[in-house]
Amino acid sequence: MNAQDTDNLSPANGIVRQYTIDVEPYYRAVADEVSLFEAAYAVRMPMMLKGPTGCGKTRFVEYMAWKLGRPLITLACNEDMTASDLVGRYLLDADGTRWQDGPLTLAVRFGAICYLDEVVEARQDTTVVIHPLTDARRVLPLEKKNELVHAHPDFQLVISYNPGYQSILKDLKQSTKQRFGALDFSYPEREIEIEIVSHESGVGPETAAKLVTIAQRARNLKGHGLEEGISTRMLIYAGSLIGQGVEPVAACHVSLIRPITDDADIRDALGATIRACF
Amino acid sequence: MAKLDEYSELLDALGPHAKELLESSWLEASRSFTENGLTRYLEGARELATAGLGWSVVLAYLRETPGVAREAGEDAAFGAIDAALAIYAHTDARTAEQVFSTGNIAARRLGDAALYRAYLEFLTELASLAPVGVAPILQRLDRLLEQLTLDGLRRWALLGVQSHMRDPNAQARYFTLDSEEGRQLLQAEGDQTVFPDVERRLSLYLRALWGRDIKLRPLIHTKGASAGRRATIDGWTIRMPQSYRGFVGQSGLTLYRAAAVHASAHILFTTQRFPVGSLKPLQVALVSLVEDARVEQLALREFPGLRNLWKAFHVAQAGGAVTSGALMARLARALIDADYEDDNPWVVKGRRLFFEQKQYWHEQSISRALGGLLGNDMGQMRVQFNFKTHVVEPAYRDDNQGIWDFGDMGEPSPDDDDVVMQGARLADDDSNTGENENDKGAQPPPGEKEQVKLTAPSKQDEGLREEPLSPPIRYDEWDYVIGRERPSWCTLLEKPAPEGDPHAIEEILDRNQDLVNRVKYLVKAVQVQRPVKLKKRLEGDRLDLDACINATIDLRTGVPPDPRVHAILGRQQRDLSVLVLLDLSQSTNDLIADESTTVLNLAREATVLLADAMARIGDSFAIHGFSSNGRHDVGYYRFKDFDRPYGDLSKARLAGMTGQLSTRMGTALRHAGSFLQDRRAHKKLILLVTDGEPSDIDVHDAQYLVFDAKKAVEENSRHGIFTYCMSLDPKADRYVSRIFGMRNYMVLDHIRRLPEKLPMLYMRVTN
Repeated sequence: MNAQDTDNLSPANGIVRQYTIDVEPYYRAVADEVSLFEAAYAVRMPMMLKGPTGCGKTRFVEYMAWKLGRPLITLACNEDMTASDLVGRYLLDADGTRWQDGPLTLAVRFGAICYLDEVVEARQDTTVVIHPLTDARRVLPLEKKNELVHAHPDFQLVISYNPGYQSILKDLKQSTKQRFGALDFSYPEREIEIEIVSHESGVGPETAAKLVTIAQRARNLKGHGLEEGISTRMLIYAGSLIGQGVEPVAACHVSLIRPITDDADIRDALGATIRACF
Repeated sequence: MAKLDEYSELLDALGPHAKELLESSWLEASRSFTENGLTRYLEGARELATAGLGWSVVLAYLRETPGVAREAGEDAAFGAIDAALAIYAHTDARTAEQVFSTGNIAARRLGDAALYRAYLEFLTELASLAPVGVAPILQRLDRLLEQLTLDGLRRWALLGVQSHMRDPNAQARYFTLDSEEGRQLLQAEGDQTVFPDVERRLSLYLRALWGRDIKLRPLIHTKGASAGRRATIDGWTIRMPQSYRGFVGQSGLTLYRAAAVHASAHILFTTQRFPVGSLKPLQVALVSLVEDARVEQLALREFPGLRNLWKAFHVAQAGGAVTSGALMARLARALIDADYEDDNPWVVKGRRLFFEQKQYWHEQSISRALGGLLGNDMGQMRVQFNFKTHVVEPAYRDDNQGIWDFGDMGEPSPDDDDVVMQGARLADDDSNTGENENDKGAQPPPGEKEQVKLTAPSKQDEGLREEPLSPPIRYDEWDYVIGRERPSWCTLLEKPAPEGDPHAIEEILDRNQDLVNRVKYLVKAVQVQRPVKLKKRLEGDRLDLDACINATIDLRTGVPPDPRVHAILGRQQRDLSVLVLLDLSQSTNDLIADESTTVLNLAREATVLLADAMARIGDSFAIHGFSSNGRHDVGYYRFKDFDRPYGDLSKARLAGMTGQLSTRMGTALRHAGSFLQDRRAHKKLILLVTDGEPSDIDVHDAQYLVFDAKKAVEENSRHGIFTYCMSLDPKADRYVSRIFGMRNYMVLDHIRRLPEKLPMLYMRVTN
């Protein structure tokens, strides 16, 4: 299937059509995650993508949505989000009340892939609304509207989840976790990461290799003062700045060191590491 | 435990004052020394008494030595006796007394047996050179050691000795800081980049570069060591000079950085030590030089930017006198600096041969072959080479002792004053101190202690025993060696918490008013989630009448209404039970670094502020503490229980809290877990505050209690109880993550900030 096979979306579904991804997003597969996801989609298994920030989870979902030819509805979760933000609510307008589908309901009705980014950020009572969607029932009850939406055959739910959270009280319930298949993401291997950085930022493979070296070295400090390592996304930022003619060491300071730490000693050590690499 | 009575003969010789002092401090002493050490401790007192130094010296010795032994190890502590006697010979009894009375300050500031010994040696040396200098230094020792490293202090003192050799009055003014010169030079020493200031940066840097755990330690120089300080390698440890003279500010840090990364390149790429065999000293020096260049080239393959770092230190120039030192410096430069031009045939040849071998650089043997060859050539040039005075150049390179295996040959230069050899000797020295470091703070002497406890409690222990509050409770303990639980192994006794003055607690709050206010702010943020009616919501469980009326008016006037017409009664989000568990072992009585207060006092302050915060938020909480005295006596104190008000009684108990005995963490965690198991709460949390790793008098395997504590944490988590640890032990990285898991701990590096950090931490992990 590819992007052209979306004709089963009727014109009335124009609202969903805007979520269709027309151009192939760049994604460099690191292992068998693409075929695994395709298999999971074939049986509409809900998927969970685990891994640190900036390692390509969101890009992967975009790519898969394009590859499978499904629209992608993405929702960044936060702790103020309520169930209504997912399923929809009645709004008041000049003529009285009007029901407005939430993003999840939209995806369920019209068969999109719904991607809940950083799902642990949402409160637990919010996340339980996805339960009936993620087992054999595949339904979404809209209590206020007194409606039971049966999921479109193409609908799939994907969530992302960064296990390295600070607060020990923030975690998914077991009953939520066990509804998903999971793919682990981490920073790609050296050669692949070089390829990605080079492709995305436009710098040559040589500079990209240096950036990746810096990132690998900095990841050695994770747990020794750094909470998270330097992500692939940050490397792409650094590469882009270098592509704009910024001096490499300065670009690395701006995009790699200053954002991740305020600890003077670590900044100094990372700065010296960067100088050692260029 | 050895009893004081066994030493009655010695005691009688010491007289009534000493006996009185010993009786009151015997428990502490017996915990600080080994069996042999105790005897030496008392004999040391006799030695001082018979030497006629007077009672005040003996008493100072008896009072201070146990503390020094805990900080710097027994052997170093007893070294003070000889030092005091030697100093007494040049000065007076008062100064000798000060050697002891400041012993604890020195031991704590230096924190290392070898450093402490070097310090005593320095004092002795100074007493013989300038007796007037000793007393003023001892009087302001704390401040001096805060400003200077031991090396710096020694340099400053020797400068004073040298510049006023013939004028004792001027010398005295120098040391009492009454002369401008003394103050200025002190300032200058203090301004240098010193190793402790850059240690963390450097170790983070090395960890980032290599991803390995390479240790950095200070290098200790003793009497007679002259200039020419170089780093030295000892296995996976790099010993760095405490300061590099003549470098200030950024270049000091750069030099340290260059030295650290050069030495780490040796550790990684010089995989085997070169056997000295029949090599001549000149060849040893040249093989070292080529090896230095080789490991640098290998490191440059990974990190090309290092070239700039190192190159800046190569300043040798072509031309000038043809001495061995100059030629070697020029060759060293030629091997790293491609732009450097040199026409000396020997340098040219060395450079050519080295780069011809480029594809074999990964083989260590080329250094040996090339160095040998260049050594022969230089020998034929008849330039003089003196191994004793040879110092590796440039300054960032290490002394190269770590890459040679001297075998049974002995070191090439046994001369005492030889700087180059310092490293190797110190390495041996230090393997002992390393052990001491590990032992320190752990258990006092092994042996029958536990049995003594079981049969008849000795006199000294009686004061510590309290009436148990509950019937003894037995807990299993995990033995990682046999891989199973030892059933009913530990006995826990709940004991009444002694009461103190509850006003002391109020005072703590008053004293920390601004902190209390800050915490109040945070609490407010947390409290937003308590039951309140939230109006003007898009949805909710009831209508917001005011908003409805407004919306209706809008509708009637044909204006789009504000859709936020609902109200919610916010449900209380925090359904949390927290048990704060305090480690009340003996070590909490230690003074913190700036000596202003004890660990226990800080823990108390922190707990009071935390309790205040929790009471404000409305979380249900309990505060308990524990200390242990062997597996048959794990004491457990309940300062505040769940569902009891946090009132005067709890406060009085907190005020009366004392630190004693050891840390059997696992059993205490199990007992704490038993309180939480039955509680109906969405989240249950044990917040453990401890200043050290688990230990107890009857356990000699440091790993044993660590594994048991880990097991206890796991058992609790099976019951839905999280355990979070706030550790005050800077060395805790070694074990806390193993016990509590990767994310569930925090190691506090500035213990002073505990009262501030604990409530913040609580807000963070529970939010």
